[in-house]
Amino acid sequence: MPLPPPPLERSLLHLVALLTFLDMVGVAALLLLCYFLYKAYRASSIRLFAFFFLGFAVLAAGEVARTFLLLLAFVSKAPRLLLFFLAHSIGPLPQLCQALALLLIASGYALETVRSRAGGEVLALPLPLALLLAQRLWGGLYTLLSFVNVSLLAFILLNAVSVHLISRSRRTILPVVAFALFLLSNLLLLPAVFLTSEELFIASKVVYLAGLLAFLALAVEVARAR
Amino acid sequence: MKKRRSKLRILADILEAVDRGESNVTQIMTAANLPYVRCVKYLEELAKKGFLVRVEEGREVRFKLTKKGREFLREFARIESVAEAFGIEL
Repeated sequence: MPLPPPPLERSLLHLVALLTFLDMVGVAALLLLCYFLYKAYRASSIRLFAFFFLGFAVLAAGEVARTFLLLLAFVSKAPRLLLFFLAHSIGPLPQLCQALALLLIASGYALETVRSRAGGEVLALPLPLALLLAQRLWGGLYTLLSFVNVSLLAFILLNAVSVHLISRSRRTILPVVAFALFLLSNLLLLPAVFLTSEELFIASKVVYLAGLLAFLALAVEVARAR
Repeated sequence: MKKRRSKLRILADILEAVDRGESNVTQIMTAANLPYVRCVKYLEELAKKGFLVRVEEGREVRFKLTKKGREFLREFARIESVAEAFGIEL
């Protein structure tokens, strides 16, 4: 008869199950937002919608990969050593997806800045070329990707804040909250990796999921628009 | 400098005007802020696509919003809200 798992391991399993569930909610929120952005692109043919749509689609793909990893760790009976190698070989994939997604979203904001520069309404922030070069330097370097993501998120957040300062509506505050939480999550991830702190890693994950919930609120707001 | 409206926005402005009760060309062109020739061109396009129905009452031509037109307005509200959230101008 197999022995029941020790209490610490059991609570860890509950945490993994909760994080997996919240990841799925996050994926649903991102997919809903993708659907609205795609419909907006099809109806208006405005390329900026395509950038945001692709960005959120790639972000959703990264979340699916992350959820898959969590589920695998949750249900797998494989030896821990195998899981360790698996996590380290696929681990940077969600990070890469996030970096690519953020680059697309940042490009969307940068193009919108160029488009509305004549009116001088949006804060003019050129997309740093260094970030584009940094994207190419990826070679499985998780930390480098985290730095890239932090830089991109800082750029996106500044643009989202400037958009909100112009309109000051509830709809524009939600992306600000979501991107601010994503930035905080990535800022927590850096010391979590350097200090190998599980608490910081979990805090980073929880903050990231809170960001996804802000996007869920936005998707619901858009769906209810009349 | 005032920004140009996209075609999508102009069509939505016309449909919103009709939905508010502006039903003849003069009322619609005033409400949607369009010159007569362009307004007639867009009204014909909207009627052809089934968003509006043309009703002739004696010498006067009136336009009414169809179910499809109302659905388009609802869809436009969603597009407008997602555009607003990300600072995209329609």
